[in-house]
Amino acid sequence: MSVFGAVAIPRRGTAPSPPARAHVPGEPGLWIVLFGDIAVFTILFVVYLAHRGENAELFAHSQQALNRTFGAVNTLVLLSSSLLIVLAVRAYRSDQRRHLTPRLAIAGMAVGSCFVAIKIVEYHEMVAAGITPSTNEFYMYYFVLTGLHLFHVTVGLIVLLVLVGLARNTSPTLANVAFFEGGACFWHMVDLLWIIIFPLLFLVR
Amino acid sequence: MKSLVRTDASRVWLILIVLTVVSWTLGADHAFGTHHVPTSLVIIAVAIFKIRLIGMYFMELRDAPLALRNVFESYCIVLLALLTGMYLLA
Amino acid sequence: MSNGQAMTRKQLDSLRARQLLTAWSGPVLVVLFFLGLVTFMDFVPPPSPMNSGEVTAALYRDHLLSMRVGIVLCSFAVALLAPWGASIAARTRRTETRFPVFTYTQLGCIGTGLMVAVLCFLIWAIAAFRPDDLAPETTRMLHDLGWFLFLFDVPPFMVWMIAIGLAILMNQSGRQLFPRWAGYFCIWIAVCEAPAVLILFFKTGPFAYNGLVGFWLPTVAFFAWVIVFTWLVIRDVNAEHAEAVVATTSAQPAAAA
Repeated sequence: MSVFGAVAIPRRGTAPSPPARAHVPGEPGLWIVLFGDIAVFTILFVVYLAHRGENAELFAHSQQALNRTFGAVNTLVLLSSSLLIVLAVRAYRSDQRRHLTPRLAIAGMAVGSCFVAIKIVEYHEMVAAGITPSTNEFYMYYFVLTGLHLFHVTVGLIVLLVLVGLARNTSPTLANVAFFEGGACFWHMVDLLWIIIFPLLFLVR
Repeated sequence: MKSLVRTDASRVWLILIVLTVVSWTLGADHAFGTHHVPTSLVIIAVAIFKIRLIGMYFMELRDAPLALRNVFESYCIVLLALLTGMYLLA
Repeated sequence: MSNGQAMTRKQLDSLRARQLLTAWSGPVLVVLFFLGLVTFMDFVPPPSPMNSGEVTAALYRDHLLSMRVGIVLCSFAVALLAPWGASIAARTRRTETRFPVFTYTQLGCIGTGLMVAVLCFLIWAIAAFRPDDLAPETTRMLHDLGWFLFLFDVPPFMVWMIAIGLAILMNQSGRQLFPRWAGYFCIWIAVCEAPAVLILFFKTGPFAYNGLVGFWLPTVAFFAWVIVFTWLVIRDVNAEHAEAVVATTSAQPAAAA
């Protein structure tokens, strides 16, 4: 017994038609975690900008030492990883394309892991240059914000791993699909957070 | 596979990639010159625009019940106000 | 509730009473805690980690009686974590009849959490015992030790919350434990607790033990969680009791006849 078997095969070049009824991705309760997590990070963003205001020159000067290339590449990495996961979710919902899900999910995970690798190199570079979280206030925010985010990336990768396992199921239940969607949304949240963190820390002066 | 890839999500991805490169270029050392305030504001606005795209198209909030979608849309507006406000006034 | 029909009214009432008693320990501990930590000890907002030994020692010396009273109040408050936690663990137990892993996890975490909390105030008590005889840096060390027990040791509490969350979300027993949003709520609160570990790295700013993220976020989140779950337990206990009483009274005439 499979779910969403009635999804029409989209014509080439068009998006699948949206479901007739409004659909909560994952399940309603999950959004407490997603929005809640975003809210906590938002507090951090506001605090960062508040302290930046008190010390604009120090922050602007210290920002120069950050590796913008790594930050930008990481953004591209997460965006691409998210796309692969979006495609994986769509495949999972469709009877005809479900077999593509494992490959897409694994690809999403593989691309996403590059973020961690680049981050490790980036941190190593900073520490080798003598910059640590206690060097000054700016670097405190840099390491804490990116560190907390990196922790979320790691959790997200574990979630993706679970999704890869789930992807093997050729006849998922409604609950399976909801879980898959939910896990995907958590990953997109991780992406979303970086989309704000990167410009805020690396670009805005 | 092709019908899977040629979707709105892929187009959104392309837009996001382009916007990332744009922000990256804007944020580069020389690009600021003396105009770092307007440039920073643009970068912030672009970031909010990007997260809205992610929410609508990747998280599929576009198809979600209005209540959920509106929470997210409101958040985008609030975040824009907060970040711009804090950047300018702090 | 098949169990309810086999019970007398007295038994049902007792079941309700003991669950309510333990659940209400939650709000009581919150009030005692507030009185102790805020009113008497004046530890909210926390003193700055940057304070010298002298300044810290003066905190104890100059408000000695107030400190001591607050510490005693809090010492009693933290003991109530046990019955409060038990009220949730008992309900979890009912959904895990074969392998009560999440129940046992909760009990383990309650035990550890309680010990951490007890030690926290014990150590502050020592700081307030002979403040004149101690070197100021010694007082400050005891002071810091207390704060670290209060904040840094969040992992047992996080695991406690996640155990409840997973128990709710993975519940297949046929009986609802708590609404599913409550499970996600647990996970979010656990996430809010996590940044408390950052207090080790910073003595000033938002991530220090007097900071927005080091102190306020985890503390407010924790007490919000206690209140929300107290409400959930009491609500469920009362609803079940009402249902069971109706079932018993409608069964009795048939039994008597």
